[in-house]
Amino acid sequence: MNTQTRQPPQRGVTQPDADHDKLVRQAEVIISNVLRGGVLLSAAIILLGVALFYIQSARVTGGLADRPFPTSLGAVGEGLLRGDPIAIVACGLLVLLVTPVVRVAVSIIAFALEHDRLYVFVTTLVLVILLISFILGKAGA
Amino acid sequence: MAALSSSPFTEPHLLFFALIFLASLAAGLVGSLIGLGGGIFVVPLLTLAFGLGIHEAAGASIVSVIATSSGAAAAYVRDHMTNLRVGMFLEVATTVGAISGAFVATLLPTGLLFAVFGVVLLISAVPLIIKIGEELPRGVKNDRFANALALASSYPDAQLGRAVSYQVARVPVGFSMMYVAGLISGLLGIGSGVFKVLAMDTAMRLPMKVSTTTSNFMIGVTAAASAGIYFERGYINPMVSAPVALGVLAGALLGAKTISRLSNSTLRKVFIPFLVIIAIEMLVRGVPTLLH
Repeated sequence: MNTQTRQPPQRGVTQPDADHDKLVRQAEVIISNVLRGGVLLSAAIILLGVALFYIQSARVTGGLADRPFPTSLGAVGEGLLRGDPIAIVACGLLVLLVTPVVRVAVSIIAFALEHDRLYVFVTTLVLVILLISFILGKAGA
Repeated sequence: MAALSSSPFTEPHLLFFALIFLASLAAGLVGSLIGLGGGIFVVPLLTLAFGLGIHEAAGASIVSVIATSSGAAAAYVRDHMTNLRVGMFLEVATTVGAISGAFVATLLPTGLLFAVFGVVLLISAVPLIIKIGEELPRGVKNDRFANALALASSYPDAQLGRAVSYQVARVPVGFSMMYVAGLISGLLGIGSGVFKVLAMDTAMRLPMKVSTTTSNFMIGVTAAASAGIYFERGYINPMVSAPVALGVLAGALLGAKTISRLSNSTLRKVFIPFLVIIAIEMLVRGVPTLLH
């Protein structure tokens, strides 16, 4: 598909339009693949955990929401070693939750491949702000 | 380990799983089309219909937002619907907004905020209704920020059968509104997607499909900023969040396949009622606290 646009001259963009467009496409494919990979991996792990949960607890009664579950990376790791289905589900959810962060990190590389310094800067700034939010969250903000 | 107590929903739990899955599928479908995270569906469903606590519902809502975002954006970015530059640039404002929201949340009365933003949302429905039949914005000229940041782009519109080139107006206004969107996300936990779409549609005058898909792209990052805190506080209950995640992902993939067959004006017509619902939800939460 030809998506070439007639744009006014842009500062900081040195490539001819067609070439630039191709590079944008490359970044889009990389970012899209990261998102799809994260989503598929997460769904697969969650499905595995859910399947194991129902196989193991077929005769167990009680509420679905009332089971104990891990709330730290360490506890998820321990649960995985024990083969605990709920820890497997938690692991799949964690993969899903970090997908946007990984996407931002990979975008920095994608824009660097385009030699797009302005957007390498913008995207790095977003990643730094995200990391600050995690640190502040740990500190109990 | 944390055990969350006292869900009245006990048996049979496979039915519980299936019902949440189906409702989440609908949330993911609608959310992926109009750029929202689905929290407005998931939270009332889990609290009102299933009697779960507000914290577990909020945790599932975060999962829903990220699943909608990552699930649909994989397709939207590849199909060149999302404006990557607009999204990345505006994420600076939303993430800073989200952090400052988390900080001032304890200083500001949440009830008042719900009421204020509910009213703001209701008012912002007016310009949308005025241009309800508009397919593409006309006469939009890049401002100097749009030029400097190379924001203008094009997207393939299968419904119109051609590539649509567009420019981007009033970037500072859009950027400021995105800060507010992040702030709302940090303060109130809902409504951030609606404000993102409004900022891009009403202020920056992007085509509706570009606004909703770029909002969809961005909401995952805004939500990720608070996901870690939710996880450590034990709000993300795996067996509640699993059917939400799987259902929303399936719905979002369905939405990403559907959007090319819809026109921009149809999307706007779908968007407006949900904007009004969210506004009312905010007013319902806010106004009673002001009357005490």
